[in-house]
Amino acid sequence: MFLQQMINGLMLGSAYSLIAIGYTLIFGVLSLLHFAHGEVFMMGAFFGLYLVLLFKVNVYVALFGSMVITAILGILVERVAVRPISKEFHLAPLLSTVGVTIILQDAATKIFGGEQVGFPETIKIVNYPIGNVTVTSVQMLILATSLFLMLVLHLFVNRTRLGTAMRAAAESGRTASLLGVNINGVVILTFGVASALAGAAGVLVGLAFNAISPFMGVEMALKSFAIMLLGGLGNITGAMVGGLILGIVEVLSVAYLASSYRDAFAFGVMVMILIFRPSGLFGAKLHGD
Amino acid sequence: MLKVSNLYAAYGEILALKGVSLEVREGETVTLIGSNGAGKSTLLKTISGVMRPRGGDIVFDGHHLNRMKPHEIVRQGIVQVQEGRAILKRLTVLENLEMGGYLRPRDTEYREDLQRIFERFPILDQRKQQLAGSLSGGEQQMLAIARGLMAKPRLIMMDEPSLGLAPLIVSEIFRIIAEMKKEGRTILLVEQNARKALQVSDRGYVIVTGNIILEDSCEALLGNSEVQEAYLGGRKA
Amino acid sequence: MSTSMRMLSLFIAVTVVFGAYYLIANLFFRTDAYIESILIFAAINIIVSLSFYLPFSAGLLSLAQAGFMGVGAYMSASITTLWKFHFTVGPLDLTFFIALLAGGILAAIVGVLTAFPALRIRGVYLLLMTLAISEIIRVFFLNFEYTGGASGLGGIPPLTTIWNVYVALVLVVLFFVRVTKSRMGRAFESMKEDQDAAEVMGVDLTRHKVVAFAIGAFLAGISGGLYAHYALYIDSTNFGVFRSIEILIFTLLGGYEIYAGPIYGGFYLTFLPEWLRIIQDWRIIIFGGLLIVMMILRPAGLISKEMMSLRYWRSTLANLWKPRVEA
Repeated sequence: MFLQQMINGLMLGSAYSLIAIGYTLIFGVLSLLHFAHGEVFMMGAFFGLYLVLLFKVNVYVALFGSMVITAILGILVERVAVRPISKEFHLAPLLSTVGVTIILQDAATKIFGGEQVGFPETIKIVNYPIGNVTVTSVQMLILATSLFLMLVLHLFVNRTRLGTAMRAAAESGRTASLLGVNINGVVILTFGVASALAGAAGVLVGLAFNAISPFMGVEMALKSFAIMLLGGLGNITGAMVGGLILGIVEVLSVAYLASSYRDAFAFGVMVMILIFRPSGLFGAKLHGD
Repeated sequence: MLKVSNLYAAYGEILALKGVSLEVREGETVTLIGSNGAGKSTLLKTISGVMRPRGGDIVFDGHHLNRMKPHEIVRQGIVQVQEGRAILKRLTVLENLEMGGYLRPRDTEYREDLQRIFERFPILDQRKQQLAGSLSGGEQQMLAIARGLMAKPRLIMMDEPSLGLAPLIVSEIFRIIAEMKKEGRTILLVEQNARKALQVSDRGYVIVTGNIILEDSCEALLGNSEVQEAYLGGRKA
Repeated sequence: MSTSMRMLSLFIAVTVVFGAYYLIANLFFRTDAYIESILIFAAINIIVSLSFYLPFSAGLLSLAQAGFMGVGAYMSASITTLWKFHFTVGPLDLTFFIALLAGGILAAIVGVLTAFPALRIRGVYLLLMTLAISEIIRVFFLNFEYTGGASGLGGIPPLTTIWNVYVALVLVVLFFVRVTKSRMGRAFESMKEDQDAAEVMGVDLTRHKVVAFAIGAFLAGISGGLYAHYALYIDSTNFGVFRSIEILIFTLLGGYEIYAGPIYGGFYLTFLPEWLRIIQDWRIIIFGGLLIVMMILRPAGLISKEMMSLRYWRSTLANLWKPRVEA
């Protein structure tokens, strides 16, 4: 039973991680809380769903297609609601991404309807009993996909020239630009990568819970804030581990404590972290502040 | 090679450069001296594109730099070694050097350059896998210079490279600059330590509150009584 | 002054005059139930925006105002609805007054409890922490069966009227007028400017932060009480993240340099969606777009500090039709 819960938690947590990593990337490069990132995740779920419904593609194509579309959406958001805004007043970019949240949520309601919808049975659900634990094929897919994406991201950020430039820009935009890095390019890249990860998470969460709605983004956004704090602001590895931790903790709290307080858990963790260890469990990678 | 003419720059309403003209010829080492707030760093920032000029012209090899962004100016071959050693503390020493050569292809010449850097700065070789933030102040300055060299710049601009360093390390830094000069590099140097800077340079400019008031060979500036009074501590060199 | 500034000033002047006329006309002469309800919500929104503005004027960004508002709403509604409390002094019925006060005080206590962990943190950390606390309060009410839990609390007596809500608003505004000129107001201003410098100058940071949070929470609690006794039904979703965000929008679009900003923002942004009803289907999207455009064009909000002097308006209006002379 406990092991089963752990697996469920890991699955939920890996989706959390994907979104939180995106937040962390964007926060790292722009020091911006990208409020609409949860909405990008939500749109990702719908894109994936409609790729399946309209074009009858399999789930892998839907996943990839959704990542591409959300990447474009994310870049568009950056271009329209982040880049034109002066960074002098730090709340201005935050508020304009709130504007994007409002627009995307309402647009999704208009286009896709306000009802909860789910994926048709695109992948055959097979149960794999391992000892006294059952893992479904959907769970395997979710876990494998998110771990794969995280690995690719990790290699990209740490092993490639562009990834190093991204980390350099996150530490100091000015220094990076004086070394020849095109900061605008890095920002666009960051939004694209972060949004693609959110899109993937959208499809995966849609598959896992069969409950896609225009309002699924906000809660995700808030929880990702908690995860980002848990892992340390700007710390990518921290966000990965933090997401897994929160997923497991939530599932266990539902199983062994009161289920109705599940959503308070993330916020309780957030407050605790802020009181006792503001740099997160693994240390914030922040300059100043 | 670099020709700055009648350059204006401002912070908000306050003019920091009031029509500065200056020239750096190929293979030359030029020093800009002046007191705090005279506009030395502002001039470098304006050339490297961090600040937008309000007027005047910056020409490098026939290209106007006025409207270029910092990374485009780096592409032209100008590299600035920033004040306060702005190294990337969360990257390793090696990654910092790689970022120095960010725009270069990873060819044989690049690898040879990296090898040469490690020969010249053995301490960086020993520490290449460490986070740059763990280096001492002097080592960080060496890393900053080495990173600048990794770009294979045609003009290297150094902003206060000796600032806040122990005397022994200051001498070491100036030895490196002298070496770079000997290699035939083109250098524009901004320094508080005017005496040492003039000793390693060919020509010098004196800037006061945003205006160039004097331009001469280094020997002449070192012998100039006003310059001695104001910037060399009053004693004869 | 640039042409766009002049146009903006003219726009603000016209809307203020129009709004004042609208308000007075409806207070004394017409009583259209629909317009009255918008006016009441506008006043409540202004009070809660001011509750955000007070700690904000000391450099403390609190997204917990929605939570504090919920505390005030549930507390006052418990008094009047669950406990059926009545208190009269001679002909005066003070029930509502006491209920509001109790809601404000409980919210202030929660505010103080929030302030303590918030003492050491700033910036994004403070924003996230207050957001988290607000959410914890919301989830608490969602699960607190005594006040209705997920099904909410209904049957609240309709004690909020346009008169008592505007009396409350006038009192709050008078308080702000006083505070701005007081020692505490100046201390807040220096804290906003630079916390460390303020401390060096002798401002007791701990005390001022706790006080700012407490008063802000108190005002939010009052607004919650007023809201509950007008809406007559409350549940936890009324006090979620979007309420906090809405409060933030009211203040920042109105202008965060001076308390007139949240007043202007709270009033007109309550009306705006109603006016946009003509374009029913698109109003939410337009509102979102407006937010982005405002942040691009005028991130400091519509009302600026300089607009608070008569001289500004005299010179603006006098020069309104003169050709541009500046360079």
